[in-house]
Amino acid sequence: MKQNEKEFAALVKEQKSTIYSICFMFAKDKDEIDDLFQETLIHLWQGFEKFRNESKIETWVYRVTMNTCISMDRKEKRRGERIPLAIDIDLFDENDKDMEQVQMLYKRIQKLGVFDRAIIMLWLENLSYDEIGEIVGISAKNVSVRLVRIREQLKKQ
Amino acid sequence: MDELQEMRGQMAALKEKLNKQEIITEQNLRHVISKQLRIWKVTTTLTFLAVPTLVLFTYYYADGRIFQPIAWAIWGITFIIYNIRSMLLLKKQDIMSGNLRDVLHKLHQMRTREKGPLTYIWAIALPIIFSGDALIEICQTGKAFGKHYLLLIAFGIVCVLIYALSHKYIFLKQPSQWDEYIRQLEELSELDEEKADDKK
Repeated sequence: MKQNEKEFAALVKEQKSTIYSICFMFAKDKDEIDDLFQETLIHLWQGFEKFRNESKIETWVYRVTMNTCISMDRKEKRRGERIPLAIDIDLFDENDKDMEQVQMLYKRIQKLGVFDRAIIMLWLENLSYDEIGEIVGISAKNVSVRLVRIREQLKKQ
Repeated sequence: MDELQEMRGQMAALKEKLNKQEIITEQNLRHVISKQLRIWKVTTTLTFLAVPTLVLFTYYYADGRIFQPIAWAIWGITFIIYNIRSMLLLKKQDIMSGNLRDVLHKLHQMRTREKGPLTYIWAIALPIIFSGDALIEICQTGKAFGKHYLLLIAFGIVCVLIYALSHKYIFLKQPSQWDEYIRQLEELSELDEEKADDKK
């Protein structure tokens, strides 16, 4: 592998859980997570060589993942061959008791709109209000206002 | 317990499960980095070239009938215009470095265009033109089919109606998720306006 390919591989292996969890929150089933995840990898690779450290690389990974999850056309058939991911758990399996907490989280987040979903996901990843605002496209003040509204919405559920 | 703090715990549980999984293999990485992506781009380019080729081919073999080549030409031109406009509106660079709000705004613009004249040409006008031409041909050669040619015409009309109705449902009906996205975009705009008013 070339040097930049090795660096890319190291980056995505480090961020795999983050990318997968974001794709999970925007998907309806396991196949859709796979599609979103692999589409995200393609976008990350395409942008990796041009990434110029204008932001932290982790912030950039969040940005690309979120944008991919929003923009990928679910009706579009899979382009070319898809290689299955190496994951032997099904986060959508409601019969698995180990997944109870994960399922609760998923159901809560699914009830939120797309921006609120993105904001809460990034907040749960411990990003600052400035970083969240930069990724979503709103000011840090608006992020704090949205979080208050999200909290109120979750209380009503 | 505060709902958000509870969700932090749930997220930690999710991450713990995912960290134990390999998820990405060498094969996945090679597939992403490999030539297959370039092959897809080549395929897309060839599709754009194939459309005018098809039009010219149909005209050459149309045997004097101008109707079908014109219909194919309209189909091909609208197909190319539609795809070029989509590609120009939301570029790969937007996914790499744009923020979520801008990406969503552009997607909304794309969806709005999908309801424009080009889609009506695709979904309704062209099927009518194609089937009209086919019906004319069937009527002209009807005797060759014997007494069944009326059945064939009826079958053709039913196919056209099903095609037109399915396009109306799939392409012209705005999916409900987009209503939600638009509502959130509007909410964010109102929030910006509130902040601007507070500053005055």
